[in-house]
Amino acid sequence: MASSRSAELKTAPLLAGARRAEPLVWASAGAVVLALLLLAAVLLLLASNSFRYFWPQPLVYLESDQLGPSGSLGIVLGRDTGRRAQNAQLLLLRGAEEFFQSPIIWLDEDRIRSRQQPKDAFAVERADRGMVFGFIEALTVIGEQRVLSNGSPSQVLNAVQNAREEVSRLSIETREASFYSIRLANGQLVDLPLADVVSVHLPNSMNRVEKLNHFAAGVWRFLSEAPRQTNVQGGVLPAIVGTVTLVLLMAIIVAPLGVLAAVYLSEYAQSGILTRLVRIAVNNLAGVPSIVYGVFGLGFFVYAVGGSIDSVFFADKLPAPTLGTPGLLWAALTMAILTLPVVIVATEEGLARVPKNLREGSLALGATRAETLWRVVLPSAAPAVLTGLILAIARATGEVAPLILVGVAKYAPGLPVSGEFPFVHFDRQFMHLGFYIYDLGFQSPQIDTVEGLVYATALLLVGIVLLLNVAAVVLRGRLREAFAGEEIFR
Amino acid sequence: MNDRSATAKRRLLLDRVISLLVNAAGATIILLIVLILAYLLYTTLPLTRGTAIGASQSFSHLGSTVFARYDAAPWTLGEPGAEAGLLVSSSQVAVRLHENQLSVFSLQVERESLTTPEPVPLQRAVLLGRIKLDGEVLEDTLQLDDWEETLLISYQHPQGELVVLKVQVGESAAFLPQRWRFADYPQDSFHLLDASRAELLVVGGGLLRRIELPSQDSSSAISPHEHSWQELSQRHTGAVLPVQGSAQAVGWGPRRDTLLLVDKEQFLHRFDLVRSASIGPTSPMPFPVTSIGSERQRRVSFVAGAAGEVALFVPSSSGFLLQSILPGASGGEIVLSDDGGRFMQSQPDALMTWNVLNDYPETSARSLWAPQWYEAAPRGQLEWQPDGLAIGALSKYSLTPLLFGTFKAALYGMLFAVPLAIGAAIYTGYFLSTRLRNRVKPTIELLEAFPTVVLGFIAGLWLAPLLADYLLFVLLLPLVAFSVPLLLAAAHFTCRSISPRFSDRPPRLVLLLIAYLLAGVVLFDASRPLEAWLFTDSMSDWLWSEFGVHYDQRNAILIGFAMGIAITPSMFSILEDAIYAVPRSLSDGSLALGATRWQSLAKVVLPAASPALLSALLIGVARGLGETMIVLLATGNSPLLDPSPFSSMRTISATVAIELPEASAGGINFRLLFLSALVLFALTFLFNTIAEIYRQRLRYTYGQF
Repeated sequence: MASSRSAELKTAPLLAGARRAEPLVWASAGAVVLALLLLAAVLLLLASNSFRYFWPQPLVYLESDQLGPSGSLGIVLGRDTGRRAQNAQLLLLRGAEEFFQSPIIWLDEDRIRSRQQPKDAFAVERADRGMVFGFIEALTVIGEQRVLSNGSPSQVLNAVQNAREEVSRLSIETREASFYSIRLANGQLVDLPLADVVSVHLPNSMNRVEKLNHFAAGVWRFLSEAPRQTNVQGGVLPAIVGTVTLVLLMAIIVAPLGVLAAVYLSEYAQSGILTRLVRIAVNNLAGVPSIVYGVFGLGFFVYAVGGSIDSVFFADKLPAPTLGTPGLLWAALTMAILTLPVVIVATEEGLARVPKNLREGSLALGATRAETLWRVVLPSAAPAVLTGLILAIARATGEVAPLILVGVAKYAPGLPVSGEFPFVHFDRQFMHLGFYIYDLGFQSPQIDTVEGLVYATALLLVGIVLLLNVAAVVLRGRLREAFAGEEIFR
Repeated sequence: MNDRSATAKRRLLLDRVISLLVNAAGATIILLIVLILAYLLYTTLPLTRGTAIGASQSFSHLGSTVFARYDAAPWTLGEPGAEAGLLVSSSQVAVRLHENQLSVFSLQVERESLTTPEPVPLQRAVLLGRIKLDGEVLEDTLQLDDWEETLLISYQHPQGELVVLKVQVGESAAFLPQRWRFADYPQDSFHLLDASRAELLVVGGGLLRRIELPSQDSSSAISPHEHSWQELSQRHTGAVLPVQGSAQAVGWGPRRDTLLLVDKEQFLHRFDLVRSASIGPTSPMPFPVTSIGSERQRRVSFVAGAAGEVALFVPSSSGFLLQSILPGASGGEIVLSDDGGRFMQSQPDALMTWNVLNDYPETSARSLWAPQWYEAAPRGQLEWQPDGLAIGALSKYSLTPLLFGTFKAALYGMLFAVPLAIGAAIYTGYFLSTRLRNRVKPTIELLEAFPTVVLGFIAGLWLAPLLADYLLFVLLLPLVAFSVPLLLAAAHFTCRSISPRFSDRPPRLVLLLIAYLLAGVVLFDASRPLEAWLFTDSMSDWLWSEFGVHYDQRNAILIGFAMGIAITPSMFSILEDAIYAVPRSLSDGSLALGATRWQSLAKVVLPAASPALLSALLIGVARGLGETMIVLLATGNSPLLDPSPFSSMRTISATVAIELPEASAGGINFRLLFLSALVLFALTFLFNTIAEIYRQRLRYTYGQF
């Protein structure tokens, strides 16, 4: 007893010192910093890689023992700093996939003899079969040859761009007689159709303004065009339209039910077994994994409900299913159930903040409960309802798992919205930004060539979702402020 | 006056309607969750449907003896008054034994149309050729087996000779039967024909002999000639079977990967034809077995007895799916059709069939969760392989690896998320000023809004290759995460001991940010040389060569990170709310009594908020169990049973996402995926409900202040 006490006395100052240093406070502060760092790191990663995808990258001409006498021209996609007794390697995108075995190539760094950035190297983006890098030597427009060998690179660029615009106005037959002759890095001179050119530029002799223009044009094409070449090139417009249509349709379905359920919980429910059951149900709906909603949607909506509708109303088209197959309507319904708790919780919170005396005043003036609700309570809680809807839309925008089962498509050229009757095609499959990321990232045979596109899509998706969330946070803050004063008088 | 009361009535009516609508909306929420549960159950329940014998049917022989032995559906072939004779049929060809002559017919009917038995007129069958026999044939020894264009026929003569015929029955091939004769063939032996491998399997004397029956002359196999069985069996050593002496019955196992033998004591033995070894324990049969056989595409076998007793079982599992006596069966041999759809028996004047209702044979609780001793395996296995037929094997349906993978992914995620969420919640909820808290909290909560597909993509495609290169760096990160704050604390304390002018409220977050970034950069640069120096090469190779630890590129560490990011914010949010809600007066009292800030937190605030801690942990696990996109993109999706942090896994959610779009509605895989979704639903329901109970307890606690 005594000895332990003396030991305690000896260690006491040390312990007290350690306590005053507050190591655990520092550690918990560390967790905050780490969490914030993670968020920043993920955003930075997405942003920097997307930027790299759109910003013109320098074209590098490399000569290496691996390539034989001629060199290779392309964009350096990445670098692997040597592992397992290997040397550092460069990943070069050399494009022109029909002339080389593979559009990408790994090159050992120490076997590279020379490295240049030729000013007159062209990068041509084609509608089909990816990029081509090389030196444009001649141009043939409708059978008439225009030799350009004496022109400066920028003159050649202008000539090609003008010719491209000329050709785009031509009929399909005459387009075939228009092509450009480009010398590839291996010395081969090839003739490629002008009509196939999406954009052409001289990455190594562009100034900042030109690069910025190219960047903006790239971003615009990404947002406004449909994917090409089985999704590995082009834009994401159908995916944006599909996502927006889905979440709007979902919002239309979820809003009335969610608001009514919240009104029930906040205004109408007596504290009884039923109310407690509803609360448990809402909590569990929020906790059910999203994939389970997908399974339910596929089984119940698609097969059970859709199949029954088909057998009654579209019997003449069977066995080809009309609604008994994954599609927009079922996806929206599934998403509506998934986001229902979000709307309920947010709305209920808003309703609870509406001061009680407002209601009492309305009732005292002889209004019925419904009138009080409609004229007084709901208008006051409208920002909360809106917050809930925005959060629901944000959740549905980012959610992919259930969609894999109930209606999303890898490639759906027919948009779910069109000028034809009935304008919104409930039975169609649609594209979705999140699924697009999953599909490209997971199913692509050559991930290195599409990585930039996936990063750009991911940044777009994250941007939309985070923006919606920030909007919801701001709106919620406004609501709290609005009634902050009233609560004092309660 | 009337007008006014009408308005009042309308107002009251509207009030009623709205009230009704609102109440209906409340009820709808309950209905929804009940509907989800009910529908999942409704789709899953048929899996528990037992096996049963359905309607029986009798097909008159119409003058010909019909015995559709290997058929998916039985046939009657012939017309009233046609010549009598024994007829054996497969789905493509029929063989009729009549007046010492074998006639081989091509049936010219699509296999798909064989779902319902119906008489086929003899005219529609095309006679391919006739084979003259040299002597009397024992009728019930006639067997046939066909595979694509090869037809094997065997029969025995009363004096003990076994004859095997091989015929090419394709449209282009000429009808040129090859004939093998085995004189003095022992009567107590069993033989099986395998047209797909062109083999004759003979079981006798405790040995299995496989005799190749080639089309061209080959040196290793025996030529189509006369052979003395005695001499032949001395040349062919054969594999030793688990049954000594002669067997009671011998038949194929499922998909012909195994041989099923019943010994004289009615015990069933399984012999693996791929590994030439006996597998699994023996099990007793419920009655004296006269015939035994199996389906071709599912792991279902049958035994039948002389008095019409039948039993169905899954050979890799113990117990019987069905034991029954077929009504109206006579003494003849009972067989099961290849697709398992019906039992058949040839009776003197008719062919009897009994429908078998057995849609989901391999879905007992035991076969879904316990190890199964499959064919071609040295021991019992837990495997999920529902697309077996596509890769040339039988499907394997064990949900254990999926459940294991689900928990593994969730727990590795928790390993990362728990310290982060608790630490961040404590600092934000207790130490941060309210002004700063109102900024930091929503920012951290933004992580929750992050689409998980993006996190999965980053983990699977950006982090995975990086992790393989910087394994040591990543493994050291948790150490850094803890030691940097401790070092800073020590530094701060030292500075304050030296000079009291140092503030006791340093800008912790800024200092930590700088320190973390510095430590990260230094460690990142140092880790590759360090790894090369410590392990001579990469750490993953070292793990493999030193410990035999297999390193998958997409592994549990990766999932820990990505899943951790996904589940941290929800746990943080619950916990932070609870800590912040603990009344300040409590900790103020503790501080006034001389406790340090950490002591008041640990002894006063945290105990008050402890139900929230438990609630947060449960919510975190539930979130991790159900997460789909991250695991889909970053686990590698191999259904392994390996707890190692360096190995891959396959979760329930990922399996559902991958397989359900391709599963045919109502099929066994479809229903099993619904079952696994139901398991997931039940697990998260349980976790969420407990969490909710604890959270309500928390509200009650605060209600006291």
